[in-house]
Amino acid sequence: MISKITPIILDRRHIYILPSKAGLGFMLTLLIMLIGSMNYNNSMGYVLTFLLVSMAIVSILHTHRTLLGLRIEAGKVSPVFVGEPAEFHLWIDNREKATRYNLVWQHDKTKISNNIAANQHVNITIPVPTLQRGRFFLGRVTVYSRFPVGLFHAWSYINLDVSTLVYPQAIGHKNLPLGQETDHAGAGNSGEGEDFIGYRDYQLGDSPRHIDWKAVARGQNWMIKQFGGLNTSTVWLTWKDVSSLQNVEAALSQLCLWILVAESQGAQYGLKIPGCTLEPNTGEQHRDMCLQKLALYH
Amino acid sequence: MHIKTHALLPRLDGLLWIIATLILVVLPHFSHIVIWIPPLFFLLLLWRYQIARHQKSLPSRWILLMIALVVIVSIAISYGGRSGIGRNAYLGLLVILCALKLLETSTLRDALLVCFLSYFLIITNFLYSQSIPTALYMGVVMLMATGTLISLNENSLSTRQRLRLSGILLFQAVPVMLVLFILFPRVAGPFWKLPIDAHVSVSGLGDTMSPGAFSDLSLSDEIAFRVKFEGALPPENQRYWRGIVLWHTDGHEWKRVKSLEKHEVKDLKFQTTGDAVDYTVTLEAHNRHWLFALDLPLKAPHKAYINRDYQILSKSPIVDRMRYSLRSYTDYHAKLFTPQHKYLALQLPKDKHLRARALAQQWQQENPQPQAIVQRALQYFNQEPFTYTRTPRLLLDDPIDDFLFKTREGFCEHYAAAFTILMRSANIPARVVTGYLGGTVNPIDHYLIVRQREAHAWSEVWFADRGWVRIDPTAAIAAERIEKESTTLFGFKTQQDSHIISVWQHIRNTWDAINNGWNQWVLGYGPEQQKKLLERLGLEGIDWRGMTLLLVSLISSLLLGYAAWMFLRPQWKHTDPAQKIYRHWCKKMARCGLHRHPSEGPITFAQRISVTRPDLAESVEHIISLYLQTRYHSQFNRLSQLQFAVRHFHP
Repeated sequence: MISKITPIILDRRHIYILPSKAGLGFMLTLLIMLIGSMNYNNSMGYVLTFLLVSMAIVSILHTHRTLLGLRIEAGKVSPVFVGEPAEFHLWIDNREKATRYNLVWQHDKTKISNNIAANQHVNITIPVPTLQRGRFFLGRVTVYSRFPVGLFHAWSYINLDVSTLVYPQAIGHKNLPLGQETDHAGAGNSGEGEDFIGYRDYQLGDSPRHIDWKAVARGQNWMIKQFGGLNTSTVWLTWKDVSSLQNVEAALSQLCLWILVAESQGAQYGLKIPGCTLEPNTGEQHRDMCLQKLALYH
Repeated sequence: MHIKTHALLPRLDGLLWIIATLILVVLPHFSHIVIWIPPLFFLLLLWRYQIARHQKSLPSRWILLMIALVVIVSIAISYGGRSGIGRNAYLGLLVILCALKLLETSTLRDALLVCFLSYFLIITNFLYSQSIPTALYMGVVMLMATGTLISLNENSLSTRQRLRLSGILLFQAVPVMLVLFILFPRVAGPFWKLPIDAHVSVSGLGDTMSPGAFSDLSLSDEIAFRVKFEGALPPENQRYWRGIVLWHTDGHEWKRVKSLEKHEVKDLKFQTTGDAVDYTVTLEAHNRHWLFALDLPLKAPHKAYINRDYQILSKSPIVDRMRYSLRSYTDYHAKLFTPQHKYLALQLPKDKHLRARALAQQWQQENPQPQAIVQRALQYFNQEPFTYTRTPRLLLDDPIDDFLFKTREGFCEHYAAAFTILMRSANIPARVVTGYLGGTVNPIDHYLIVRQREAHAWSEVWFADRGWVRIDPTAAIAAERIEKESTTLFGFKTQQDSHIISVWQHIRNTWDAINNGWNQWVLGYGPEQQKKLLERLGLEGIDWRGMTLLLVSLISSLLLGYAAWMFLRPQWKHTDPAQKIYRHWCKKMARCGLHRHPSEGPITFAQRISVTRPDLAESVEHIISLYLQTRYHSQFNRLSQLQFAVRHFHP
């Protein structure tokens, strides 16, 4: 197994080779031909059988060469939210004067096959489904080839030390925790802005105009439609606001949604979760920092 | 209801390769298989091609099964009556099954199977012919079949690339194959009974003789056998190759006596007088038991015996080219003579050849000495106007009397038969022997070649003091009455001395020597030859473990050689091509006095150049930026631009 700092070069010791299924069938054919040649004392039968045996043996070298000396480097991977496929990029460098044919890159059930022309540097993308937040490692990629005659299967394992962050899924019912901790009084007032930004639970004194009557008619809780531009406001997103949710993952998902909403509204937002406090700020970098904290929370 | 499979695999071009290979490999078989199979084979292939081209569904398995059943029954009917279900019948079936298999092929696995079958079909061709042209043709088929295998695995290659790759694979395989061919332990087959028509019918000497019944002697140039002598060749008039002994005649036909042939004789009652002649015969297959030997052989080779007729018989029919070594003596006293011999050697058909008998009895009365009667008969053939011709008139009434007293023309069979009848009529035991006379030496490899046209018949008479003595009455004919044999060239009769003939003879001799070498060294290579070769290499008594070790180590070293050739080259190729071009450019700069310091990077070097040679600044900057892009940013597509720029850079 290769596990090195990139780039990985496939060398002789890390390429394995065995007969393929077709190769085993071929061997059986050869065995029958050999017995036939012996039985009939047929010299040309021997010649043909031995020529095919030799051709198969020689093809091992050719199949081996298809993989030998390939350089593999990991490309950048963008973080994703749980459920989205993480797209890992591999840069493959063929520095030989010969085309590499019929390479298949396999990761779990994903198979990507390609040819790499002489002196070419190509990129392949391996989409990997994500099921859990946190740091996600690509893990083992198998590359194999049966070129040229398909009688032998040469393969190598590539363990690139490459990973990406998987953020929690951005879902939740709660609205942004405006109010008590809002510095600019009035701006965060529910129902004051023009943009619909989400729902919050009904509190005594809320204007009946903002009650989501349709939801009430469906027998759900009384929810208040929130409107407002938050561009100048500052929001603290705290663990306390989501502690009512049934589990940690739901809480993290809610926080994730809030971060995205706050960022899209251009608000100043800070994050306060156990073990970590990020002062209110705005911008993509700040957002990614917050999301990273959520992804790696444990 | 069945599920219809769409013919997605193999792709159209892979399929075309399979079809082309199948046609090539089956083509030579068309002469062996029953006439309706080739058209059906083509039709099935065309059907498969149309399905692939129009992306239709494959026919259902039931239809294919029905076709297969009909074909099996038809083959049983076609072959059942005539020659029996044998090799040709199985071959015909295999050919059709290959095409049917292709008609249900929709996966790579099935396509590969058809490809392997086509390799198998190559080997079936060698059961019919192993000549050099066949081998060369099969080499082409191998190239195609391997190209097919490549096509099925990788379809982005061009036709030329596929054939080239296939050629490389096979070319590299040849040395490994030679090692296997020479050293792989050989065993003598067959392990099981071969089909009844396993061996093609071949021409050879018949076992009966009917002088007068045929008006044309075979002029076949086919080779009967080749002989390699250890020492000097026996003189031409001693090259009698003994074949079959004929005893019994009904007045028209002469036959052998099987009861005499069957028994092996231990005591040959054979005394030799002259020197021995040692030689090795390579006999072409003739499907009969007899082996030809120079008159007379002393001992039978392995798996053969000498019978009471001094004839060598093999224990099994000669179905493959066979090689055997013999020792013969041309001067001998052969005195094996039993009462049965005497009875048979005096047998005459009842109420036939009356004039011949009268003549012989007349000679006997003139001089009862057997030697004198033989001389008298030979004199008769010499002095009366007897002629030798290969195209005599038919003799249907009484062949002997008509020949002796009316037509007086004929070939060896007429003379041998008439002479034997004359001897028997004079109470001298006599028999007819057939075989070959002469042979020509090929100046290229010094083998003596005996052809079918050199078949001959002569007589043997029994003298109480000397035993059996060979008398060739044909040799007694006056020389001027022997029809000149003309050489034929492509079926046209030409003058013997023309230049074109000598060139033709030379070509023929060379081709024959090549064929003989092929037969001796390639086709004749078996357990015995392998043993001899190993002994010559100083490896006598090597056991199978030693052989395996030798085999494996030889093949491994070959493969290591290939690996070194294939894999070590990339190491110097690993020096980046861009770097190579850069170094070349640095040399160009050095030529006009600007040397790069070993520690100087490309950018600083370029800056230094642009200071000293501002005229070059622009082109240098271009080259350096291309270099940096290819070398450090892996933009290999810029490589050719860099190459171009450096090539056209003239400081």
